[in-house]
Amino acid sequence: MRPVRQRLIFLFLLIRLTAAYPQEEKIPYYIMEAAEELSEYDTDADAAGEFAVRLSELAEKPIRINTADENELSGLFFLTDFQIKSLADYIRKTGKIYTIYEIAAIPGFDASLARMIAPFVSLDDYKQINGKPSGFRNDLLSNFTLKYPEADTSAPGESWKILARYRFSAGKFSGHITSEKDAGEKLFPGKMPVTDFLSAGLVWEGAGLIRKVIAGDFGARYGLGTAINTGLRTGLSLTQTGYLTGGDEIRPYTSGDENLFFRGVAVQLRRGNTGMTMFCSRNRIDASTDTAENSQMVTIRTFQRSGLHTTASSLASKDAVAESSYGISFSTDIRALRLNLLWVQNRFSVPVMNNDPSPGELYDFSGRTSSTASAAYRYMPGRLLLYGEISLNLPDRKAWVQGISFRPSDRLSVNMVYRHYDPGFFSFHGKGLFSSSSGDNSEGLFGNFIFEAARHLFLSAGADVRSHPWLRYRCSAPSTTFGREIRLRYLPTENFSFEAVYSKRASVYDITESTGIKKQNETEASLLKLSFRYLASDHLTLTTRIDCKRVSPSGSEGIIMLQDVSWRISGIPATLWFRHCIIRTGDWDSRIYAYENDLVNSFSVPALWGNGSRTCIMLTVKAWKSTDLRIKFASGDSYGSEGNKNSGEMKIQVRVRF
Amino acid sequence: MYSLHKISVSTIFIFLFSSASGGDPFFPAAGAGEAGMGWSCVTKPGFWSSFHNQALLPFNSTASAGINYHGRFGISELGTRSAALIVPVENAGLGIIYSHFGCRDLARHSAGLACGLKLSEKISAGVQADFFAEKTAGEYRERRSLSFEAGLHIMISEQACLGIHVFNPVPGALRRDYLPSSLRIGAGIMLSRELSVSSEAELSTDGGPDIRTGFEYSPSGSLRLRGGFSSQGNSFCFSVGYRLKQVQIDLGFSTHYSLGISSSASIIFSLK
Repeated sequence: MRPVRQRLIFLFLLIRLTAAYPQEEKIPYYIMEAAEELSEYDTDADAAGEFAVRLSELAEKPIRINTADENELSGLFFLTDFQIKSLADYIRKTGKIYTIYEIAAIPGFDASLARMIAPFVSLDDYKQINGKPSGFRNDLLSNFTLKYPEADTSAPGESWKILARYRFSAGKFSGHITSEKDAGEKLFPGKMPVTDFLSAGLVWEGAGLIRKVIAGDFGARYGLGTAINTGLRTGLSLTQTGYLTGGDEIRPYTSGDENLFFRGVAVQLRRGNTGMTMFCSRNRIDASTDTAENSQMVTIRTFQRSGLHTTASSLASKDAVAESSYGISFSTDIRALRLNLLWVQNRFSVPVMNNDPSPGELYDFSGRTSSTASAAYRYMPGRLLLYGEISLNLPDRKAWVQGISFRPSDRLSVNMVYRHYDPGFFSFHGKGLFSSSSGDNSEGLFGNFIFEAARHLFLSAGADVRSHPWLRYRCSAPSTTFGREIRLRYLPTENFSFEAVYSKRASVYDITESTGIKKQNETEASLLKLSFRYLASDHLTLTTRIDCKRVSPSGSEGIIMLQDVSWRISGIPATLWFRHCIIRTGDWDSRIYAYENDLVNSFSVPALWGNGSRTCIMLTVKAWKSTDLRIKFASGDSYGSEGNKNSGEMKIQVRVRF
Repeated sequence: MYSLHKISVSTIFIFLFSSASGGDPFFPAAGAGEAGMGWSCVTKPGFWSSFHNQALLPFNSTASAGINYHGRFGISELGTRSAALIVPVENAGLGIIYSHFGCRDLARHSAGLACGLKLSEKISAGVQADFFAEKTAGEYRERRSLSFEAGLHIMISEQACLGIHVFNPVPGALRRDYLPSSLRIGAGIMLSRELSVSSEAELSTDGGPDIRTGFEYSPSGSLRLRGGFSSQGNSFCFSVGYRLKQVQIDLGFSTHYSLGISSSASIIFSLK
């Protein structure tokens, strides 16, 4: 047994390390990459916010890695499968990890990665880390956001957005209430003093047969997520894959997406290596409806996912349809093999009619009921990992995914994934591996490798080709998209890191000017990102980033240069973060996305374009022992032939823990 | 009515706004030594470079005053005249600079009050309040702007340092007239006691990216030779400086791929 002194030294180091890094330092680079990818290529604006919520939860409730099994370790979703396995194997062999520096010595990890995961893991039990017993704990968070100019001046409500979230935990019980008013919505749109979106849930967690019970709003994920995944989409970055194989979980729903979650009861059981989850849900969701002239029958025209209710039509579509969902899942572990079976059914109170579809809608869902059966496996013998999933929309639409990862040496890992999503395959709560936000109509092959070329030097490269056998958004013909990326990371010291990423993506889109039958052309975007991070002292962190983009055939070019300064002010518990960014892009096509620091539980990845600048400043103050205050101000200017445009936002967050 | 001469000067003036060496027209064209290094001076301590990055102000150990003339392409109407004063105060440095660019019909006056402070042994920071007044002949109104610029200097080792400078990070919504903003980031290294090199990148809302690099070689205590390159205008630069007791004299030259040669001369007096 190691001496107590050593533990105390470690504890001091851990606290010092965590305190030395401001909030943005805790965001793993994989998350920033994924958030930028989501913002650029995904039409779901809220998707990036899910990362913020998950990271915030992880930071608040770090994973106790010394007692966690592989499934629990997979909560560190930004690690790869091999890193999770490597970590689990190391703990199994040595019994316990005593210092964060031990993690750096585990195959697949390095000092930078160990430092990155430090805020999200606990090396001992909860009592020792926090110095007080886990009694009744409360967490109240409130965000206020005001943007200018107003996006919609005709909206019925005030232009500010407010979010309030209360969470508590008491022994085996925990719960949450989330309330949100989007910009332009009325604070209390109905007769009751309740905001537009209200979500609540109660959770009980045990260690016996019944592991978890959730009553209220919850999210779920099974297998690779093709059938159900209300959480993070995987397979976003070509060179930073993260935890590809996902896992099985039900969790209280705390995200801001107003339509994706389940509302009901979920129960998770486990005995030995076998687990079972059951859930039932009835939730009202947004949809535009039509009424047939002859029959007076109401049907669903489209589902609305934005959650924004500021126009007459969006208010009419609010909670227009009741969705009932039932599901049951079995999983079992047989040595290195994990099997998972899932059946889920969705039933809508109003049918979706697709009587006279346009070519793009030919395969769209119609009817009242959808059933999906899914089977997934994961097999990990030694340095090889095989995983796959097949999902069937009964009776005949399917999605299947097959992946292989192997690690021929500790310094090299290789991933390949094939996936096929039938046109018309729909999973109302699914986000499969490498799926798009629409989730269907693609077949593709992905491959990448990550190689530690030398000490402190990491090289990774990836390519993805996908074909769309049927029409898709902004493309009225079958098409193919292609992406490749190469990344170099150099971490010569703990204080300095350098990263260079070059990516190229080719996609086919309709030519907007073409008349009659739409013609398409291929658009290729090349992006070079250079970033330097330097920890000048315990108090000062500098990040410099330069991005260059070129789009062909238009020839549009863009460049941004930004500087971040994060300064932990001596003597007072406050951190000041400042960013100034100069932007010069030809047009919207050559826009560049750059992650920027934001409030806890929030994400900000603005699209930077035009000729101008963007300046942000954020002050984080620990006002009292249990109260954190964050104030962010951001302003952007753009000058050009279309005139001068100014935009900005102010955000205030108050968080009280007691 | 404008004469042809005035129109041609105006045309060049506008052209300068977008692509001339030295970035945008608010770039402080002060310091013949700095001009000789291709304006790669965001990390290099010195009298004039303290107004390119105010974090360098505390590196001035004696009170000094200086005057500078920078003539662009041999056209007197495009000349910049500058005068500055620096006063060291313990771990800090205070500076004041005045600059005049242009001619009677088209001129910009700028004045700045700067302060730099050593925050720690390795880190120093500085800020400068700026006032700009543009005067144009004819019916055009005068434009006046207030803004600020700030810099940071970090010694990453005994030989190497980083410099960051931001000009006008003030949101455009708060001002009536457009004022460009720029960001300069650079690194410098002392290869030996005699030789130092530096490199930096600048992006301005008014112009494309400018990559600069330069060196300073001191074969004897009083003589300095400098050379540099700036990617904007493919500008090669050279300067020579000589220190005579309390007086430092510098002469600098820079080329432009199409507009010709610009020259600079500066004199710095140490007041101690």
